[in-house]
Amino acid sequence: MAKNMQNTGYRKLDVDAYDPENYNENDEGVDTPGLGPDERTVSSLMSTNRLEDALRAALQNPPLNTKNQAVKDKATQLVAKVLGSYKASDIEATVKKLTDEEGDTLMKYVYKAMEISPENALCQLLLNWHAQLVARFGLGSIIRVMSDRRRL
Amino acid sequence: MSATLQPYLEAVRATLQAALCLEQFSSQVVERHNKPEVEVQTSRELLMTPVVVARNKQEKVLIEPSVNSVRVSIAIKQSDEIEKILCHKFTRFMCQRADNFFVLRRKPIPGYDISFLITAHHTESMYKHKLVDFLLHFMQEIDKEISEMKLSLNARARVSAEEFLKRFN
Amino acid sequence: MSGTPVQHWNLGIGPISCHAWNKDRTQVAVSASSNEIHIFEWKNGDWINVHTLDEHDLPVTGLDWAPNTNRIVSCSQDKNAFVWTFDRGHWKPELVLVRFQRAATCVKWSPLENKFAVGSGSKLVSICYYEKENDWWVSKQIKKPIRSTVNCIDWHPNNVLLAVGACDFKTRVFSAWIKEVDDKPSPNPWGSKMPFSQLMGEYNASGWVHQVAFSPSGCRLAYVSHDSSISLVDANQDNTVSHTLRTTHLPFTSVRWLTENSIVAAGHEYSPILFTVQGNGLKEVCVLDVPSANKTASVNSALQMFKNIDKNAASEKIDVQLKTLHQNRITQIMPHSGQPNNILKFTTCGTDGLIALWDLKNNSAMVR
Repeated sequence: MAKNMQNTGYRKLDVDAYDPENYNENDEGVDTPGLGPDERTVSSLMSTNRLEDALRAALQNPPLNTKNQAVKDKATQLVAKVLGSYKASDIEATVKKLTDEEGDTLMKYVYKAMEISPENALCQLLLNWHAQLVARFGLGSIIRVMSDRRRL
Repeated sequence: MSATLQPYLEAVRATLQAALCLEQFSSQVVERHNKPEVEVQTSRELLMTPVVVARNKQEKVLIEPSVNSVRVSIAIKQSDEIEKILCHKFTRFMCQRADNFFVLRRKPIPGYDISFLITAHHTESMYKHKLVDFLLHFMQEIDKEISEMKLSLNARARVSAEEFLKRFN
Repeated sequence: MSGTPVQHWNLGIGPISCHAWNKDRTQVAVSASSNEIHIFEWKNGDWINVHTLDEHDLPVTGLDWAPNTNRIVSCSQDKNAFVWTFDRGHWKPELVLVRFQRAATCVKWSPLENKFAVGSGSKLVSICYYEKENDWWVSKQIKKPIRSTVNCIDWHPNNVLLAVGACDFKTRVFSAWIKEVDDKPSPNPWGSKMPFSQLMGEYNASGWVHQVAFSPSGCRLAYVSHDSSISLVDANQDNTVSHTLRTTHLPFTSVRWLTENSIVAAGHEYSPILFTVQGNGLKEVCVLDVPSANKTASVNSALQMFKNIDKNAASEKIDVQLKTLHQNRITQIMPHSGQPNNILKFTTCGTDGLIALWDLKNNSAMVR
């Protein structure tokens, strides 16, 4: 048997990945250290029961550009905590006050929260948030969660 | 029970409506091919962010959209061993006959019980809203189907046990 | 069709991917999702299939009919493009050397009809022109820095600039100046130096760019992308910034300027939607497809109900139709009548096999 038959690992090499013409996601945007929302502000606002301000603070600086998944998950959990402490009847009024930008960001958090912490009680509230967001921002906000490359 | 089911199904419906915006797309990697991009996964830019709609830990739907195809994977509620077996048998039965269901995938995605693959060909030849209706109908029916099977299985087991124990009277 | 406000025809050839009108709008070239191009002529109140062009062997993706020179250019997933000329009752194909390795996705004649551009899945655009010496359509290619499949192209009215939208989330404006066929271009708001394949502008989108369109004057550029947004670049103000309007609808796949200030967009939402330029950005005006009365009318008499049962051979009335005119994705918008800077009627074609003719007179108050 020929000697060069021993090592066939090179056959598994994905040469297409090295094509300089290919689209590379990492080229897009600089990897800025996404800070995520300020946890202390959010929890202090929550403890004084100012939920709306807490939500607004939690939606600040979403860590969309960072590559560190732990930072993203932490931010998601923080937002989920705020969302989960809402009463179902207050959700509609709060969603009405959101700007387009905040609505799109919140939609991303809602989907991500359903993915990483599918607890029964929290999911009920998240689904409620989802319904209100769709009613306010339309299907366009769901599309933007899917098409945006700056993921959570 | 059904009060919590409704918001879940509505969220799935909205997400599916958004995900099913497909068009014909010829492969940019292999010439003269037109393959579902979500399956071949060769061009990152043609895949969209997958999203999960969850009702609880057991019941969730994974929706993976791409430019010309969407993969929808459903996790079905299985509360005990019997339901697990029934669910497995049932989905296996369906998957083996995937060709007859057009949109069914032959193999579920790991972590889920059954998967559908909807391509631009399907959205061209069928009404999109009816496709969404079908998937939701399926999600509702499969729960019912499995609990019914469980009931009839238990009933049958009881009858046979009774017959068997009669001998010892 | 007298009952419905919007004229529409079902050509009965299945999903229509693109259509193109001849100069006097008596003939229309359409491609179903197949390798054939059908040419329909309006005769005695109906569309008659007069020619079928079947030189391609995979589904046709783009069509354009040059009004003055009366030539059709078509491109297809089989990597080829053909120029069709009408000669003694037949359409004769001429192969174009586009030099693609992947599918061709879109094609468009330049305003002067002396060249055309073809976009493709091999991440480039070919600018094709006729070479007299060789009696042959040859091409020059724009490659850099396109990183993914080209979805759409549009010509600037000056016959030189070309807007390109691609799956790499960018809209770009290139110079497509060919020294063999073009005069020296004069400076315009997009730049002053325009050698071939010069990148004049680059704009971000957060979804695949589905369609680009220059305004009638060429000073503005609109594009729609898969994040349900519509964006505007106004070169008179600043040719480096794009203003994006996020909408609540499903993504648009086609866009066209009606006047210098108003745009119509359509796509997965099944109904054309009007936008106007306001200040720096865009503003949504209205949805054009108002559900007609007879579609929403319920079954009001027993006789009608039995007629329906008889007609549909169904035991009950199952209404699967949506309330909009188009029942599936609108794939293309083409101007029908009026001047380029004041379009009065436009047509849409869709995956549901319909071609609809929208008259803006009914909505003129809203457009102006």
